[in-house]
Amino acid sequence: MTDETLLIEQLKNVQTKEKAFKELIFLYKERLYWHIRKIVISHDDTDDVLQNTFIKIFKNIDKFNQESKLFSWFYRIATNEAITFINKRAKQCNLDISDYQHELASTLAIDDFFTGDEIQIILQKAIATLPQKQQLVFNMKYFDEIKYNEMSEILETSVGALKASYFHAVKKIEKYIKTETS
Amino acid sequence: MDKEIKNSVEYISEKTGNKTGFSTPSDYFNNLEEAIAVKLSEENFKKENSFEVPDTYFNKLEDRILANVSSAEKETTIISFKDRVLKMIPIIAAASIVLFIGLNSFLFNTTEELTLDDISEDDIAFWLDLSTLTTNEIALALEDDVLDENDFYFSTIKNETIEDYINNSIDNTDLLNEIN
Repeated sequence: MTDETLLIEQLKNVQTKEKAFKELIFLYKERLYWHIRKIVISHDDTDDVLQNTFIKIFKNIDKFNQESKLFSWFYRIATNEAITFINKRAKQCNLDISDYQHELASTLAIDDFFTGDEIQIILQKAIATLPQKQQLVFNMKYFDEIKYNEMSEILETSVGALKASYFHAVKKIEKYIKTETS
Repeated sequence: MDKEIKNSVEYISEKTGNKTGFSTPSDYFNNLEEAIAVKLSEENFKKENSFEVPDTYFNKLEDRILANVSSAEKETTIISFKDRVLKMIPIIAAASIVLFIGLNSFLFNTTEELTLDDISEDDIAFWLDLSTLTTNEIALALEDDVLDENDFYFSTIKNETIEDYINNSIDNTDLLNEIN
């Protein structure tokens, strides 16, 4: 029995559920945090989304289909939670999602939990100009180095479509950086 | 396409250092399990409210609040600047008169002091015609300023002295005439 299978069994057992859940948080908290952070940008919002993600995992673990990887399932939940969150925020601000994300990137210079310099802000602004799917693919491939077949499972998109998305994303970001730094 | 992507990725990576620039508060990940456990416990709390209100409470609430607001407005008196200025006018006028008299007395000293001799008999007669004094007013003035009750206290006068006064100052004939 693999570690993942054992963890799933423990999560589905009422007596071991809580202990296994703590183990699950310990194993996945950082990876899921950084995945969410790249979508919602602010630390506080990321914290909210991450906690909601884990609570959703805890409540729905019985519905987990063991055909997919546990990690992919977590990523899918985290992605959905994060996208739902920013869409809701954009709506509250009466802004189009791309305008809202551009605004978020513009506030990074005064964010206490942003240690990057001007070029990292330009990169975030460049990512904010992309369609949502391309943003996800770029972040997962460029920063997290997730393989296309795993990404395909998480985003429920074909590998070919993901490759195309990544190509377009990279070209647009390269162009944006060249324009901004020339 | 792969080579083209590779070149572009290398360019981006070289420029940005493959960093996001994002950071977290210190100890954030160490305390995360506990924070999630707390949130999970909260999720299990019943969100039902056990408190109740009278049936029509919320229906009448707006009217009650508005009634209180309007009565509070009535009780509030607002003193306008204009009212304040108007109240100040008599005080300022009185102060000006006092100042004027004071200046006249101490600085200019141009008025002559009046004495009883300056009042003509006609003036006194005119005043008496105008003001009729009552006996009470006269008594009140005399009581305080002119006479003392001790003035009529004769116990300290010796009988011999009284006899001498009667014998020497009153003519017996006059006295008999008075009696008759």
